[in-house]
Amino acid sequence: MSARRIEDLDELIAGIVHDGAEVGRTAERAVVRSGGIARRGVGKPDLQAQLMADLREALADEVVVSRPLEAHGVISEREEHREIAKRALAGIKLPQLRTMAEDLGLARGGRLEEVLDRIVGAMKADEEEIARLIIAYETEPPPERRFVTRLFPLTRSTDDLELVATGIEPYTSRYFKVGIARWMVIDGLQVSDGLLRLRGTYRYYTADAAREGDEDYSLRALNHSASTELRIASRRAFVQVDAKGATASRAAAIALDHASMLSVERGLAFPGTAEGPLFGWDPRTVFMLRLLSSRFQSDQFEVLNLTTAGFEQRRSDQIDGEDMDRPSVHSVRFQGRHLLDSVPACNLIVRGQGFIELNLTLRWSEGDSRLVLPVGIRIERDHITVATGFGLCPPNAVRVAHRMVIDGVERIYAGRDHGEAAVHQLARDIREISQSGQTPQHARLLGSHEA
Amino acid sequence: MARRILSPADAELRDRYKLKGWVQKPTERRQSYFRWCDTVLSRLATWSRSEDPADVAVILGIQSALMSDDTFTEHVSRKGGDFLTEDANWDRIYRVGSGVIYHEYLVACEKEIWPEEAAA
Repeated sequence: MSARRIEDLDELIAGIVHDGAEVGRTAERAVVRSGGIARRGVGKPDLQAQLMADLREALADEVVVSRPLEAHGVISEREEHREIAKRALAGIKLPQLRTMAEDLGLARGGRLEEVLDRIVGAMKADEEEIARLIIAYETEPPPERRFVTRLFPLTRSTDDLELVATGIEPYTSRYFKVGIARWMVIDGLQVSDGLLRLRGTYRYYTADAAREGDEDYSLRALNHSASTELRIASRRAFVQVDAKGATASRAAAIALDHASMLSVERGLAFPGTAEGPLFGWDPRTVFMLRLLSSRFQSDQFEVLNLTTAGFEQRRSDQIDGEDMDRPSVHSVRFQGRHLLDSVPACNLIVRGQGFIELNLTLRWSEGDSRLVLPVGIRIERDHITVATGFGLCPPNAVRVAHRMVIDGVERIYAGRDHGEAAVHQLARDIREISQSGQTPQHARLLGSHEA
Repeated sequence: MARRILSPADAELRDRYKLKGWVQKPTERRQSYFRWCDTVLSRLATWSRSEDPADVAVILGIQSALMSDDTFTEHVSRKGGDFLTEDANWDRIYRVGSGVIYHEYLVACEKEIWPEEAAA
């Protein structure tokens, strides 16, 4: 039998706390007798209840504890409440939970459950407070708490949206096949305020074989659909698609390609760099660094923290027909804090790996309003994904910030932003960290300011 | 070498508040706390899955004594400054003080100074 009763644990703790207090007083008396000073009434708080709760928590982890059933439920409501709060927090990655604990004045060390216990304990399992914490600290919010837009490059921009709309008009309420058991329906379009909006529905089937008994074989198919919105602005390099997932977004881009005079590029094309401190670096890395050093270090945006950095080997460096037994790493994703100041990330950049994904906490300011938002940017083969989480902010305000992030991405991609001095300085700093092999004590490149 | 009990941040507080010196002298106080460490460890051993209880539980047990010892209050208040105006920081300083006691105890056991000192 390895389980123990909670009543026994409480008795053990009460004994320790009672006898411990006596030991402390005895030690004090002995020291005072020999001339030492004891000071009372300096406003120290009564921490005994907290100490007992902490001891209970620490010891409950040591063995399986059995608790008595409650009158109207199987499991203690308090325990259920607490565990649900922990489960909700567990959706946040451990490094971010450690940051949360530290920000709350708690110890950051220990296993996942220890950190969760500490946070939930400090919040007294208050659901509302914990929900606020989750939303404030999540760096990769779920789809229902973020705006996601995928940017597909056009072969050429246009300033005549009416002409584009006229070309698409005959295809409304019609569909294109865009893949195996995949179709894109054009539902309608509208041109207003310098923007062409194309609404559509992506329809697809998932199918599999089924066998019942010895002889009955059949195909089982499930029908799915997802709405899409595609936007084209005058003289812009990208078409913007809001849809659930990359496949639905691609389907919308393909439909545009089929139905209009505009064409979507098959892949992204980043300019290379011939000289300077960026020489030899992957063009995708250079794009990300330009974005970080100019658009996201401006009057409107400030990087508070870079929490995820994803790298991918250049496709041209992945040897075709490579020996399949030869071990190799094609992509790596770091999670942590102020990642651009870390040696591993700087090494990968300097070695020419593609910096293809980032998640950061960004402060956006406009007028009197300042929002702290989780933002993610990922470079795919044929598009760039921009995701802006709501954080604790109203979605309508976040939508404006999301558009500004998209605008920044477009400007950098189109070469319409000139911040060469800043990106060169950042590149030199990255080379310096890589060469020194030492991660600085304090973040200095980006995100050295906390929210 | 005794295992590390304090995090780097806690070690910083230990040094700032000169807690190592407070634990080591006078001997009478040190012995009271070391005897309490023996007791806490033996009581926790009845509950723990393994022979060695988790450090955090031992430290909390030591804290139960430290919290009622106002010579500790005097020591940290004298060095305290603004740090101790926050309630949460009192808990932290007790935790660090208890961690220092436990570390010193482990060192003494390893060097076989304790429990020989008690027997003498």
